[in-house]
Amino acid sequence: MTAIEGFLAVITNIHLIFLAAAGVFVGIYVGAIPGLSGTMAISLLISFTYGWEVMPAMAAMIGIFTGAVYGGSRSAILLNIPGAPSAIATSFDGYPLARLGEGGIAMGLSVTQSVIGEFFSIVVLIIAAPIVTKLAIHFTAQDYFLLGVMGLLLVGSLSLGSFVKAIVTAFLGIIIGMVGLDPYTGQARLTFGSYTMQSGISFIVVMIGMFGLSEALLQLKQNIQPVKQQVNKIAPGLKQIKENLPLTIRCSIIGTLIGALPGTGGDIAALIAYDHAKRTIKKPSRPFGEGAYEGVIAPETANNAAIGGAFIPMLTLGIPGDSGTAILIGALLIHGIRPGPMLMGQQPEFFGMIVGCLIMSNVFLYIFGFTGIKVFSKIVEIPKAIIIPIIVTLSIIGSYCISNNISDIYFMIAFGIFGYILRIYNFPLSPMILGVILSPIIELNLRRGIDLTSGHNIFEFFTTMFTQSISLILLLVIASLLFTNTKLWDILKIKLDKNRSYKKS
Amino acid sequence: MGINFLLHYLYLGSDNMANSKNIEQNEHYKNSNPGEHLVIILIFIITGGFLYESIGLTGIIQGQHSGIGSLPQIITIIVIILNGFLLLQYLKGKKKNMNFKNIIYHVFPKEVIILIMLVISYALLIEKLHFRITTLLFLWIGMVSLDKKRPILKLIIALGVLASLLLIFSTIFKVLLP
Repeated sequence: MTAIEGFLAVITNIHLIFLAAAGVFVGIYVGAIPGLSGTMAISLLISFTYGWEVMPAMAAMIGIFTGAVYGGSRSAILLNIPGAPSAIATSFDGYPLARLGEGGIAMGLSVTQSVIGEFFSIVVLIIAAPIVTKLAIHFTAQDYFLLGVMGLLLVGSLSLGSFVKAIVTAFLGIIIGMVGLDPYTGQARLTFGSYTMQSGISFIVVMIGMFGLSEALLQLKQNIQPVKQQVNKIAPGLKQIKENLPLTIRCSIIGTLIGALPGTGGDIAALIAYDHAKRTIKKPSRPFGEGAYEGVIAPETANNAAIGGAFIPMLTLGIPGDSGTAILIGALLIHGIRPGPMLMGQQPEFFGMIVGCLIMSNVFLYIFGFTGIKVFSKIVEIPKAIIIPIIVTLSIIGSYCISNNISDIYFMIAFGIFGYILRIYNFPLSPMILGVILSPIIELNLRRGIDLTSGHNIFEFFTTMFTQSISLILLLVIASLLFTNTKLWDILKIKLDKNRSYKKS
Repeated sequence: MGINFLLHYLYLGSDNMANSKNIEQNEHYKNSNPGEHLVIILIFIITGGFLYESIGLTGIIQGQHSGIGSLPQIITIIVIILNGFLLLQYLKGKKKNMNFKNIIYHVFPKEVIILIMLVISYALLIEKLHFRITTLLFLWIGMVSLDKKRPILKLIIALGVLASLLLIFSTIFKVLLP
């Protein structure tokens, strides 16, 4: 059977269509609930689908994955509590939009852009899988290290307020990510002698505490009043889509490429896309951070584009593109299928079937993505006295569900209080979450890179960056990120703007 | 003078004026929040603790560049240095004078303290009384303590929320609850 035959077999199978639809619907609402995640839902589904055939299981799981990535944006927009790391960037402008009463519009934009971004990445998956994979396998340890550092600096430069405070919280996140057992040697470190801390601190616990509990505490302190949401016009018009098409295409490319890199996913893609929008859009609908539509368009396009991108290394190399595809690989192995170059050569129909599931899921995302928006928009109108205890309860359940460990609840509370204090003093929290997520990538690649140098020393690790083209490009990007956060850049920019307006007049 | 020059032109505490929203917000970020020095000291303590732990591991300080303590040592030292910048910036900037007691009231008003106490009690009691009773108590007491009006209605809402949580997590997703 060829790939096209595999594709047609899936899109004409009513059972698979139903499973993809059900998966998307469940995924949206799982992703939207703070405390649950698409990764968790897929993990649970592995046990349900153990006795199923492989394609029905994949249809359901791909559906949940697709729905959950979008679903995380709903709580990010309405409650400023991202349902998934990939929705962190969406909250930068999504939540201000909800505060302006345009939460419905933000969610509508989020659906449309997610669908467009994912369709783009599916096309890339079909056409360019071998080409993109060739680029990804050229990434060395230095390149991954720099990519991790770049991701942290990006989120730092995107945060309002002090860049130094953002770097401090980002690095605190890296430290937290290193608590537990060392992945190389199994030795306990940074545990202060505590057996509880030997199992490490999950980034989901940190995220729930910092975005869930701390948001609840902050809302109490600031006495934020509910805002009525506009939900009579949710779907963006064709004119708005056309106007933002160049940005959409660029962010789709960003999302697909980042998703294709093993170990990086929608979270980094969304942040890079948001930063790109901030730097390239001269006249946004509103200033970024105050409810700019472009601030929702960019990350939401990129995080769903990363889904298709993540399938490229997964199917062609058997390497997961992100946590979701890591679990999907596990599911395939349980069903006796080993993804990789052999599978692509010997069972090409499988590739077609996966593409079919992705396309179907995306279509259902557009259909179901608009459901429940009106109901969800009502959530922000619920009085604080009722919604805050519910948010806290969901945070506790969400923390416990990760590994059924009561200590995760205590960690969540500790991070919640710490996050609340940091927010009062304008220390941004997103860098800390990203630091925890990127900590393994940064550390493993640093140590691997050092071990691969002839002298086993860190200086050689850094000097070889100047001799590798990808590393050099990433170094230049990092240098420009640092430079654009200095006062010298501010002075230069003002002078350049003055010159431009002088020349125009 | 060298440090002043560095701080002036690098201005690592810069609020990114070209990207900032308005002058009022810039002023807010320049004027330190009362009690900010306490947060900086807290970060020093946390990072100092991690540095102490990491020195006990083999790392860059011991000459083993790819050791398990290398990155913790590097990162904690960098955070301490950056935190020092923040402390310098705070000391140079405009500060609202507030005594310790008022700072605590500023950071932890009554409602926040109540919620924190309730959340901690929830976490402690959940192992003894288990999920259903503890959650019901937390939801109801939490709602009533935040708004004393209509306690019976809030009890009904709490029961409804508990039922929904049990349906979603226990029945549909078969998630193990605390």
